[in-house]
Amino acid sequence: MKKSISLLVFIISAFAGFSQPAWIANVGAGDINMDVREYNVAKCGVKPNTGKVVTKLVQQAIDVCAKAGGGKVVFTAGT
Amino acid sequence: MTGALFLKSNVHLVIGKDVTLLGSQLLQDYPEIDTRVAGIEMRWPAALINIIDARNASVSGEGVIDARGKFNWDLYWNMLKKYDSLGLRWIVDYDVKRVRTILVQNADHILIQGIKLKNAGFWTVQLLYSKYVTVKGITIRNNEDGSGPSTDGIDVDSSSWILIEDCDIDCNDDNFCLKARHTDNGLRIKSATTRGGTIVDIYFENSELDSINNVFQFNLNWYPAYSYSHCHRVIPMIAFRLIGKRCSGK
Repeated sequence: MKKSISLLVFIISAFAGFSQPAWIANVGAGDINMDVREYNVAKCGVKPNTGKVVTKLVQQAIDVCAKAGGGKVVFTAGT
Repeated sequence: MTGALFLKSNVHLVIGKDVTLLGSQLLQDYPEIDTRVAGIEMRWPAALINIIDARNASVSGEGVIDARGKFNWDLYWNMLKKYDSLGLRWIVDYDVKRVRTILVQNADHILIQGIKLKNAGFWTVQLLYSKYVTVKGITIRNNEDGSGPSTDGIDVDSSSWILIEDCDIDCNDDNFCLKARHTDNGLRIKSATTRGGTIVDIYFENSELDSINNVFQFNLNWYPAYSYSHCHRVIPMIAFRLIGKRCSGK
């Protein structure tokens, strides 16, 4: 009797554990293609550790990238 | 170091390894935009990184975005003292305009992945009027420069088809999180009779919550003295369905 109860509990919890609502498959951004042209902010005059606010330079890189149809705007270390 | 940046459609911002993008500590570097904060449409400073009216855009990488938000916290504490003495506690949250770290507003097919976000001046990530957004594998550490007010982790506001997974969040206010420390609440659903809308279809699984007071907290009539300081005539429609909650707390 005890055994069958624990088996039943196991089966129920297994079901409870693995059954997800169907809509779960549709959440999120889906596939975002990151294999695109790259724009390094260093080429737009952004230098590290200057203590200066470089909003305009980075925004320019974003705008140029967007105008060209999109791509990656990349910050890399030490550049 | 930058102020507010505005991403466009098809642009992917990559913060590389060993890179720390610092937020400017001047409020003027964050121009005010039309947005929504705590249920009210209003002018409010832009976030450090904004993805507004865009689709197919992302922020990713192994680097750090340190918002250096302490200047916002100090503004808040100072004004709280002043307003409290005038009996205006409730309005401080709206009057002290503070900078969010990432805002996704009226956008779709957006990915926020991998980055580490530190010391938000206000909410860290807000998803507003957006759909098909994934927030994956980000780390949030908001308590390094002290304990900031309203430094929520991820706030999902009037959005749908949102996926949040593999995140590690440590804030001084609400986390919407899969892993949390030093905070009060895991998943919190908060409303008041002045706030309309519905919340449906929430699925929460395989989450680890460490040292928190509440795993789930539902305050559908939150802080009346605060919420009903104006006279609104909105009939609330709160419908809530929690499916398959499976929380392996330790």
